[in-house]
Amino acid sequence: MKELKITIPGSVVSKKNSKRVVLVGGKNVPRRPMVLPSKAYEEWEKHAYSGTDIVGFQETNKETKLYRFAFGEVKTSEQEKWPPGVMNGRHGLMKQLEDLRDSTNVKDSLVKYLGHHADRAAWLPLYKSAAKRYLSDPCDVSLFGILIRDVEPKPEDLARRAKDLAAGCPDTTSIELRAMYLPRKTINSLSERAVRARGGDYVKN
Amino acid sequence: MSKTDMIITEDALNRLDQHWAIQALGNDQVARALDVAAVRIMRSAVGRQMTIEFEETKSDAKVVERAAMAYELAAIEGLYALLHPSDDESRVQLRVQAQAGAFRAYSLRRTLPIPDGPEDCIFHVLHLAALAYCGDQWADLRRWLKDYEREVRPPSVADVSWDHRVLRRLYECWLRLLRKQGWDDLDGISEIIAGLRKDQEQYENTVLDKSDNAAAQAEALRLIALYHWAKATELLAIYILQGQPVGIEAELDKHFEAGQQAASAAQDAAFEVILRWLHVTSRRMVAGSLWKVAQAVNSRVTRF
Repeated sequence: MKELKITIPGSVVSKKNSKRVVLVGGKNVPRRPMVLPSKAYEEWEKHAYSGTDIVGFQETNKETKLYRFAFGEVKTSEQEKWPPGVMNGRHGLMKQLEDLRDSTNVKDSLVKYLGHHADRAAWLPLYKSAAKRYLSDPCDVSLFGILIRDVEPKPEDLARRAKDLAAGCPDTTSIELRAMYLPRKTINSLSERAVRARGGDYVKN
Repeated sequence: MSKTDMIITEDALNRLDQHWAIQALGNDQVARALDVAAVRIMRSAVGRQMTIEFEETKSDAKVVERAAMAYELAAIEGLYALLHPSDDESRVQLRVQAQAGAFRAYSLRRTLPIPDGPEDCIFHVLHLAALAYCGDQWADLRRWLKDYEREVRPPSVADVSWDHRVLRRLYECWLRLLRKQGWDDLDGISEIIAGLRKDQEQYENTVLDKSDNAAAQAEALRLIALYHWAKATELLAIYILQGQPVGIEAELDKHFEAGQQAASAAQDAAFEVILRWLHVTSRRMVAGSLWKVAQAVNSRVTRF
């Protein structure tokens, strides 16, 4: 498998996609349960920074030490459906990647946010290199969509989504989709294990 | 000249244009952005009394945005030096860079449309105000606030969640601090904050009472950030009115830094960034207040 290498300033944000089940349908359509993000999660997403799970730098030329910004979204799903529900919808992986691909609003905010934290940081040269490229061409970024699953691996998880994202992708933007398949029924204990691996507490930025 | 005085010279602006962020954009783009912004300001000042021969192209709005972003990055680089001035030469240069960058970013951003959504509008105005204060354009900002009085007025607090109510009421306080419409206007800030303290008992639990623990935690952290901002706002208003407490700078640092930490822990980067800008703005307000000016003059007056 091709290596994925990004320098990340600070910690990776992991968030649990809490869900609720609602009944849809009625008079003309049979009623059926549908899984949606929980109200609390939607509220949190709306109020919290409509930001990105991974922000970092990607080296594009070893000799000249050229970097560009790498932005990534992470979704987890244990749903026995290919592709899973977290790929679609208003807060789905696809919509998030499309926003990063098409709009400068989210990217501008992230670049400024990093600027506020760049003073005396070890990654300052990487930041300057990436920011120069971004200012001359806001499309010159690397986008990643990472899907974490604990079900049987199937190409349907990503195949059609990759084609959809490729249509309308600017020449200088690269988008990469990756799926990680963990042993069955392990996603629910993922955050506890991550906390344990970090020594019992979250690592601060 | 004291460490906090600011004069944005032609030389400072020329040096700013050599900054890596501005160079990355290219001289042509920057020149076009400045021209477009200058014409927009002129047109809004003269109205229909005069026709200015200048045609904007479709891409000009983006060009102005990109240039404002580049100048803002240059300002951000020197923001710490502006907040904590020192005589060290490299820090002086950074401070001048921050002032010049903020000055240019303000002159470009003030010509951009004000967003429609209440929260977007609040963040836009506060961000613009911070750039104005850091770039020594507070008098121009007052005019801008008057020109767009209707568009920037505080949104209603009816039927909004507690955190949004606090945000909207704090925005109202900051509008009062920025427009400087007399002592009564400033005096009202303490009343607004007192009203929020009273409302807290009634509304706070509705926000924190969430089944999802992660969401409740993020909300609690966001409220902590808002409360620190409220306290800093109250102290700033009292200082502007009464010149007390004498050690206001340390108080502002304490509350704004704690607010930034809480916003960061809530993963609300946009809120953290606006608190960083308002922190510097509050210190600029103190430095330019009647009390500080009087203090500086008083030390030079030997006889009256």
